[in-house]
Amino acid sequence: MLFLGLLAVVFFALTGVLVSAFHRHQDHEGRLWFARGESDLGAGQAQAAIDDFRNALQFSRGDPRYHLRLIDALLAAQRTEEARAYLLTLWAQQPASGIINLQLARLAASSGNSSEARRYFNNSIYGVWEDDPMAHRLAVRLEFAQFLVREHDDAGAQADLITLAANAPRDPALLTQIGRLFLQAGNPNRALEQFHGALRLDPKAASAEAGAGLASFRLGDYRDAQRHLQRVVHEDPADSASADLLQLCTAILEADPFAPNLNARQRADRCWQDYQRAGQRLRACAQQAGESLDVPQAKTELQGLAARARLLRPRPSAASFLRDPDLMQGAWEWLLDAESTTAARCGPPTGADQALWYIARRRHEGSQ
Amino acid sequence: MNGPASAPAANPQATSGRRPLWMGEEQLFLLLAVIIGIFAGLAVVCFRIAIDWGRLWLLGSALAPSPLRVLLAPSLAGLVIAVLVIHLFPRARGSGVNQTKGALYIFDGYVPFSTVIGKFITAGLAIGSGQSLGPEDPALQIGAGLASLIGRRLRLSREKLRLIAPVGAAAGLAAAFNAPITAVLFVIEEVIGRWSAGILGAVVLSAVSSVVVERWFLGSEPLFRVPAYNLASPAELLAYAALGVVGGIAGVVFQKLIGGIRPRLKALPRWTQYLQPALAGLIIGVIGLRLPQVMGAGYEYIDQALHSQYTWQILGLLAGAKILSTTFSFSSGTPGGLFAPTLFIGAMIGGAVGGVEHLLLPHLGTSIGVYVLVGMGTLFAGFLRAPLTSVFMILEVSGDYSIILPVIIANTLAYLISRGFQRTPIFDVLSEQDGMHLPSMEEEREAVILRVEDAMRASGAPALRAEQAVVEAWSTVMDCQEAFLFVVDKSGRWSGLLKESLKLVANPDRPPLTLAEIPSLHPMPCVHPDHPLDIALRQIDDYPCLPVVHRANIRQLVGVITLDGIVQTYRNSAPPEDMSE
Repeated sequence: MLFLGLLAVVFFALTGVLVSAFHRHQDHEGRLWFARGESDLGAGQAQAAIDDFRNALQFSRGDPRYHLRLIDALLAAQRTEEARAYLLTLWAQQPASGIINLQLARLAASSGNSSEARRYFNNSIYGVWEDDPMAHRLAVRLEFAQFLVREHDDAGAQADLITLAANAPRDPALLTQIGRLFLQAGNPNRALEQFHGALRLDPKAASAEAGAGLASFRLGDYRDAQRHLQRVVHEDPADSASADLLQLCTAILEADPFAPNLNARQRADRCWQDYQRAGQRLRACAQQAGESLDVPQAKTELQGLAARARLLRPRPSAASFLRDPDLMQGAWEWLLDAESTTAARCGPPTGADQALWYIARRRHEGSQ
Repeated sequence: MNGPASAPAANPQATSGRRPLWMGEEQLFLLLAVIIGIFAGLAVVCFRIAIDWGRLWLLGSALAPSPLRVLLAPSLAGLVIAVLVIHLFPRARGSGVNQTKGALYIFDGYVPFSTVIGKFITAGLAIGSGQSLGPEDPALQIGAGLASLIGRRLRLSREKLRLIAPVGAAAGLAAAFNAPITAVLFVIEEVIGRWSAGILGAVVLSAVSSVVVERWFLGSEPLFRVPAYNLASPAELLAYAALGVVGGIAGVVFQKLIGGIRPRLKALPRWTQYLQPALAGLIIGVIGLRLPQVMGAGYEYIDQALHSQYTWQILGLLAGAKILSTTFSFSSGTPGGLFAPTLFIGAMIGGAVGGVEHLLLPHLGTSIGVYVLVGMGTLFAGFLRAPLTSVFMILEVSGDYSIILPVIIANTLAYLISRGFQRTPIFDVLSEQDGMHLPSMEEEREAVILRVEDAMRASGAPALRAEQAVVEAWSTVMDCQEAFLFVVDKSGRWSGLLKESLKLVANPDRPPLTLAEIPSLHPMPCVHPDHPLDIALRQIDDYPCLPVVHRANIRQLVGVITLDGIVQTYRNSAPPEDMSE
């Protein structure tokens, strides 16, 4: 028995040496195939990469990187079902894995399965991440917010973004990205906070500046928007989106009769110019639609608008607007209807008409 | 028969000169089971590494090897294997299961150590080079051989030496499969054929210890990563039933092919045996050029099938190609096992059936991987004809109890179909081809058990009560034809006496006696109607007959059983022709 025991110890030791030598060899082979797979995947050769990663996996089935890169390669080769089956198996083994849940969430999102995607995103956010879990969770939350925005779940996206903003590191790029998502989720106030935060950290952050301009514009603070956008366009004249928005801001600020610091005369003059501009737009639209506005009985919306304009008393003019503030109110209601109707019949307004539409809508929202 | 004429005679008495004095043979046997498990586990770990390393050297590290390697590796390895098997290790060819059974039933537990070495080298080379065979059967025999060697060295009694080979077999199989329950069940079901506490304990201990050793070195990762399963609709069970039917038919085809081709190849001139493994290797290489999955044990491809990585057409093709390549490999005498190929074929058939069912019944929606898993068990039941093991194997491999219903349905159907078309199980076919007439475990399982009720007759006399007065008792039985009378006391103990003895003491002039006071009254055993007849035969001893008593009321006499009745019943149940195997 003693001899048997000794023999077992020796056999055990020899087996250990053999096994560890073999495992080293396997690891070496696995790394070689993995590197080849990375190279093939990088070169866009997804099929070859799949074979390489599979070869790598036979030497190291426990290495999650190999599995995940194989899944990436399967997805790159459009073999979604295979990737999903593979992921589900991995998930069954590690249901709390952050990365596996994230991959499943992406697959579910791409296949339009919203509820499943939300579940996996949440699993991923609260899941296990082996290295730098904080950064991974923030990144997943950001991706989740982007998904919710795409799903038009603005409330859900905002809730996620608020948590994200509270925990986000002081990184201008990240704050800018959160700000943009807030904008997309319809919360320009919080967006502006993020852009301002980014600008405090990096005053030259053009993207944050442009975002702040857009957020201020959405909030109706055209003066602030103009200030931000002027800086953007000054730094980067090629930024056409910001230049267009700046132009619109300028047009609004120049046409707005309700802007502060205007005296009564200036207000009445602007109102009269805006009214005339809207009338021109109405006539141009009627002409484009082949309708005559000079009819005794209005039969179309455009004719109805023209008839309403004729009924305004006293007749609109710079002087009557100066004398009668109530007329200004009636004229702006008409103006909003005119711009909205012509936009629906003849296409969205541009230039000064677009500025009028913004002013009218903002005034209307303000009065409501 | 290729049994060793020189097998050393085991000591028929329980003498074990090398065991500690404080240890009985039963305790030693259990301790040995653990030690055997450790040795078998270590040997199987080395065996698996030898196979993997062999594969790396011979076929390269890619899952799809280069065409030159695919053609040359199995062919050239086949030549080497043939020389080794013919000249050095003749007992390395054939089924390890049967050779272990041979050790148990014929050779007093003797498995030559050269067989262990031979199996290790030749099977490792064969499987590593891509021959379509599996490592489990050789691992089983390696375990049995090591156990036999240890048992012989410790001079165990003949009874224990016989049983020690299956104990080692279970350890080898458990380590190869990384599945102790499956190994224990398989060895009990197919090798030993009976359950008893002594042997079961040893088999379990050896299997568990070998798996512990195997996991120590190779990790506890299961053979396959199994997809999650849940039964969405009872209608799915019909789909699994269809899989059972297909699996059963495939099992029959596989059996017929191996059972038909193997003896024909064995009958060819001796010089062809040098070429047969090489030619089998070449055929597999040619198949492997298009379908490299058929080469070797193929577990990694089962894993891929489990994850829906093949279309049903490819899965069907792989099943057919694997049946052919395994038939050639095994029939050519190349050492290696049939377990892994069986699982492979079953998996591919399962996947193919699942794929077709997805096409026809898309609303069922179960993952094809589940069909792959159930398919493995189906062929295990249909081809290897181990129904109980097949069910538990799938449960153990999947770790998912919820899959039990589909597995039971599919496996039962496959088993019944296989039995219907092929009466003799594959292991029995192979042992007969090898000239060994081993007991068929399936026949033993299916044998009709004769019971006491089949041989008993009604009693011609009532049972007497021990407290009864002799005179009164005599008046009750004096007209009966029975020569032997039964007496039962209040606690249900039975005794008997001759009617003549009762007559002698039943004289009204003698002092009054009760039956219990008669000196010639002999206590005797009783039997129940459902007892196997074998028990009655052993109990009857010199008694002219035994009382058959009710189980719910042991004072109630149901009938009488005599030695003549027992013998007559055995005679009547004998088959019409000689069945001496």
